[in-house]
Amino acid sequence: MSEHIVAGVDIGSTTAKAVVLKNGQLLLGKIESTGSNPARAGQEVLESAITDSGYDKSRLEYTVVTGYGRVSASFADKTVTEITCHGRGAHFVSPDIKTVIDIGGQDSKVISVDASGRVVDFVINDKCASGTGRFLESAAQLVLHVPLEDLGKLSAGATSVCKISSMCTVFAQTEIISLLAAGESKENIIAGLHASIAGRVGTMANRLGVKPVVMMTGGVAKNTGVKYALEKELGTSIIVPDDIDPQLIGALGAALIAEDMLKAKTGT
Amino acid sequence: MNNGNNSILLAGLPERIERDSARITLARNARSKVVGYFCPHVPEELIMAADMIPVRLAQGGDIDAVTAGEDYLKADSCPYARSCLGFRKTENPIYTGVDAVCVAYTCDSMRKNQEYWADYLGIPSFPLGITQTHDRLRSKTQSLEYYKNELNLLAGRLGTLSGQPVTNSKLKRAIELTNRIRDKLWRLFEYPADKQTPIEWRDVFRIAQAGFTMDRQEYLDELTLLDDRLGKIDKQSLTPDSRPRLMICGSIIAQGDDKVLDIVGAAGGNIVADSVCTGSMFSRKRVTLFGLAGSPMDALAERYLYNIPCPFMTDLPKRLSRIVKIARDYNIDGIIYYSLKYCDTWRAEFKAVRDIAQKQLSIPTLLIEAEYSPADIGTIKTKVEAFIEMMEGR
Ligand SMILES: Nc1ncnc2c1ncn2[C@@H]1O[C@H](COP(=O)(O)OP(=O)(O)OP(=O)(O)O)[C@@H](O)[C@H]1O
Ligand SMILES: [Mg+2]
Repeated sequence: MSEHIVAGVDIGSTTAKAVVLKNGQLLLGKIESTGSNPARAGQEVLESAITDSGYDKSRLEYTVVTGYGRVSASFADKTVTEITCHGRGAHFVSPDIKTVIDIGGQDSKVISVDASGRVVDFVINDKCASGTGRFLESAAQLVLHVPLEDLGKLSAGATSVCKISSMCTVFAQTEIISLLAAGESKENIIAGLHASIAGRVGTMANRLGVKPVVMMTGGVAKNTGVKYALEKELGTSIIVPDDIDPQLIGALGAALIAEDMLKAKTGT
Repeated sequence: MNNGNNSILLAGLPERIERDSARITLARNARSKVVGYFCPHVPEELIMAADMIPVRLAQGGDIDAVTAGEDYLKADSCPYARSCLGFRKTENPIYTGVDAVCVAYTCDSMRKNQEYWADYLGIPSFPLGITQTHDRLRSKTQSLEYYKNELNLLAGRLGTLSGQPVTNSKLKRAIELTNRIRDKLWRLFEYPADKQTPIEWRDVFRIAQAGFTMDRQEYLDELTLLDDRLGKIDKQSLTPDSRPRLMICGSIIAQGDDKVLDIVGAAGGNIVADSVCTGSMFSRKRVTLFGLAGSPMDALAERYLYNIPCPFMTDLPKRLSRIVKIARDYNIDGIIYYSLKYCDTWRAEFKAVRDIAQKQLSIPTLLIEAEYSPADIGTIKTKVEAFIEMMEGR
């Protein structure tokens, strides 16, 4: 097959991601915030990713869109769920993985994949934002006044782990305020938040059965505190992709499927 | 995917259902009483034998009715149970058309439903107690005696309401007619076991639901007509359906609660069998009279106590073996387990179903917890689509 460009777009509740492949090889990935118009955010991040990789958008031959915004993305050649895409992307990065834990802004998902990267089972949390990135964002920004990026580093300095019992985002904020008022350190509180997320996701993962090797994907995988808490909760080590931003794994999976689809279409 | 046949066969069906809800109101005007029931533990034969019209009040999927029902039941109780009261307030023609209701005590919310219909809606509301057995063999006599006594009480109340006592011969005639409906309906539900089927489960399911409010004889005539037409189709000439074969089981799928079924269909899934109380179970088992002298009440009790697939009444091993059998008979690739949100009865059973499907059938089970509001459509879509992608990827 001659030189060809395909893309995967993952329009999540919080961020829109695009990954561009050239001849099946990773060219570029990009992340923007989703905002109030998911379809447009997806289109924009896709176009800017292609432009950034030095190509004209007319060169794009196949686009697979995933994430909750997939339903309104008219520019998609095909839509696929995040479950399949995260499984596929994670397997590509590290072919020996069996379990993928994707924690995004609104959902957390645990996916079991087989030796060839196919999904064999999965669970998705329901609706409520507890145990997800949004929960951490609101705590960091609204109550603790620390940058999101620092959560992991800060929690590493905790001397003890606070118990945060509220699972609801709003109630947890109230709880944090009273912990601060009682003189608890931010570090201990953040470690407590991470432990509470790990508890939530851990229960879900155990329902499915956690087989090593375990990989974390999604934006929250960049929070080393959550990774650490989840390792403790599950009693197993977790890998986080380092060659590629873990937040891009869903879009990467979508791009890999786009490559498959294009090959099937052109019969190569 | 499918052949155009069924659309022709089914043309006009929804219109007929609508006409029928109007007929109930008309019947009421004509002084023929209409008696509603919610749960299939209530034998409709008893209502027929008292010369009244039975209708199953199994509508759902309507958020206004759910909200209206919150005047009586708490907001985190099952949306179907809330609707059972709410539809009367939103003036649904079927719910306002009934002269009395029979309510089986199948869960806490339905027990209160029975009392609220009487005390707040001012409608004669007849209870039906059902025993829960834990050892079917050893407690059989007592539970059956108790249930039979409840049926006799109900028959007495129905007879008083209509002024036409329930007699053995009328009961036998009602059983006869209902059995004939069951036989026809069951034939329809058997079709989708074959990959080459002239009718899909979804359409049979709609027909089963249409039967809830149709005149019994007319319903039988419709079924007979359809059965004849389907029988003439050469199955070998049909394109085999290659979509993943799914079974749906769990909470009541009420008439109008199409959300999950629509999502499954749009995602390319093919439901071919069910274990829900509004589906094939009604037709699965006839009422069997034992000999000419056999008591019809005994026969009703035996049929209705032991053959309703509700986890509230049925021992887990029996529930599971039934699900396994259906899955095998219909060559199922995956189970969709539908749990109406806050329906503890069904949600509690899920783990056992999931485990047995995994162990004995090596097939996956997807849990869908849903309300009647459209708010959860996005999440359900993702779950269902991922489940089907997973099966197609195999
Ligand atoms: N540098 C970072 N450090 C820590 N956390 C981060 C960082 N960047 C993003 N996050 C977290 O990642 C979350 C967003 O993740 P992601 O982009 O995977 O979500 P999404 O795909 O939009 O959501 P969903 O999959 O739930 O629809 C944020 O809510 C935030 O908590
Ligand atoms: Mg995501």
